[in-house]
Amino acid sequence: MSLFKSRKQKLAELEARVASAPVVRTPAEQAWRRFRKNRLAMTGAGLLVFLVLFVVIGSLTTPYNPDMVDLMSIRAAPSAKHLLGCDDLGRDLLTRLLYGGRISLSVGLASALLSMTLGTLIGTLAGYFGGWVDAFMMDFTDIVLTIPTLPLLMVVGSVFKPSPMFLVVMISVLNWTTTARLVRSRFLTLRTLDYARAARAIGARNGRIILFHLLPNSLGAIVVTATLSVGRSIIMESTLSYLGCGINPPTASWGNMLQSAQSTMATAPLTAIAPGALILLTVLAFNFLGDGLDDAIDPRRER
Amino acid sequence: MQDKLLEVSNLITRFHTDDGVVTAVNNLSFSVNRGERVCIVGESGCGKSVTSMSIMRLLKTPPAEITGSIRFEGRDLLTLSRDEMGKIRGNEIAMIFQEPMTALNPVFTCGFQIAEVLRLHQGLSRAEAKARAVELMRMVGIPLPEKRVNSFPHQLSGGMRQRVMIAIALACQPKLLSADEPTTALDVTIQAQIMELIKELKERLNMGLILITHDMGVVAEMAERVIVMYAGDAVEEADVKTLFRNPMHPYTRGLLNSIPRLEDEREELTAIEGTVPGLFDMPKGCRFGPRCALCTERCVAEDPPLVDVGGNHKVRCFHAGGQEGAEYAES
Repeated sequence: MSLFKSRKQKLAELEARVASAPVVRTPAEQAWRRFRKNRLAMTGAGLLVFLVLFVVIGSLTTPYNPDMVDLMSIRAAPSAKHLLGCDDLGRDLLTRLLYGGRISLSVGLASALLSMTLGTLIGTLAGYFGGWVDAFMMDFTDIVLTIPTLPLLMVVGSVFKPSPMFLVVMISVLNWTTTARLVRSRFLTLRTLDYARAARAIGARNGRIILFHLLPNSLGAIVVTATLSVGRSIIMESTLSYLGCGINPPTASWGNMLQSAQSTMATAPLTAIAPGALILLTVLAFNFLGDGLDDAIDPRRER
Repeated sequence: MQDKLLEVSNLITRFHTDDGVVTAVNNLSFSVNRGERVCIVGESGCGKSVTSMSIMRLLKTPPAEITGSIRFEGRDLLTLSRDEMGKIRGNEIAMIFQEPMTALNPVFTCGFQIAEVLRLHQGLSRAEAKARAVELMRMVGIPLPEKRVNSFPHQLSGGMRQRVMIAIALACQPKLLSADEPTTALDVTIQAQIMELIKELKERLNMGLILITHDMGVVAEMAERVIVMYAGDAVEEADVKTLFRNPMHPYTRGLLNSIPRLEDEREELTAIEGTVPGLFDMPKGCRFGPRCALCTERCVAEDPPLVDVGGNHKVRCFHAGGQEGAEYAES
């Protein structure tokens, strides 16, 4: 008993001992170590940081207005004045890429986040509670899955003239199903495991078991799906803009820049290559990153 | 009379399945006094684990249905609200699971998991709880606790993990500890260490202990009182000395006979013929009847009651203490 009662006095001493314990890596440090070891993931992360900085800093420092038409420099070749040349309306290509990147990246990120949240919420409830909750939620998911995404978005896009915010919501509302099904299946297995039961045995309630015990165990899978879905959302935004129902000109996005490059592709190939390459790089970077995060989050991968 | 900590009476646990209703625990009554060690022993599938799960109310209802009463310090656990039950679990009644490999959450450090109980029930801060976790890890004999506090479960051996489980269970100094085959997954030397540890800590904290096992050796070492279960029924209950000296139920005798002895020259182990009946085809009358050498017509027709044969020794058998019983014991 005395061992317990003297806790207060021993606290300071113990804390000191914890602090001076030999070579201990905290969980976060271990995760960071695992992440750093994964070369592909580091490349992805580096590329993303670079892209974001490039887009943000670039768009703030460029001397040109992205929408300003300059009749004198229509389809101008790359030069010291216009580093990547100009498009068919004489707008500086680099500036439009930077501004377009802001839209494309933020639409991609925001809709991935939103669809991840939606999907995780629905998957968690369905998988944890089971029974009629599960049946209802999964039927709903199946219904959403049967909606043909592209035609619907095209119709909605051409009727409403979507703002970026609107686009984010539309993409997310159609994109959460993958995450939901994944999270549900994880929870169906996890909730039967001993540690879920053990958590209940120490007095944890549903909310705590879900948030602290089951969700962290599904985090790897969720993060991977989320990063993959950033790529997918960016592509979807580009597709819609390319088809003319996404971001409306003159506002630039990588997708609608590709579309407007259609007519100039033969004479000024950079107008198509540049936005295309940026989309490709971004999607690749996110996929690499997701892979590395999966490894980093799971402590069992430690070698 | 001693102070009753836990009093289970007429506990019936049924499961409603697609194929019908099965009864896993059939009208079980027993009690645990403050600081007493009670062993529940029986073969796989006899309802011992379901009993402990029922006490903790860890079974999902439905499909499970629990009736009877489980009085813990006078309060019936079965009538408590979810929140009230949550305050008792881990705080006043704690549980050690069979499989330390799966009962610890793989993505959190051991220290975090010990600290969690403390934060949950005692409202300690993160730092306080962690310092206390180190202390608890030392108490359960984990070397270098300052270092191990940041280890993940997969980085520890089975025995160490079970020690972590024990630390979690004891963190709030519960009044009752329920251990469901705590050493089955461990090898023999570790098993002895863990049992010794549980016994020692139990004395130190004056807890009641319900130990569930199928190992008569463990019973002999750990129990003060023993409840022998068979197919959902308590078939015999006695203090440990009486039970080993004078087992009355044919099943208990069978269990004791099946322990191999060094001085025994026979090549084959003695086993009880047959297997535990499935939950769907329980025999009529005495449930042990089909495997019992003493089975008579009466055993098939009637369900024998649990009778006190004196000195708090209870047996569920028509032949208990009778002539045939003595003959059986000698054969």
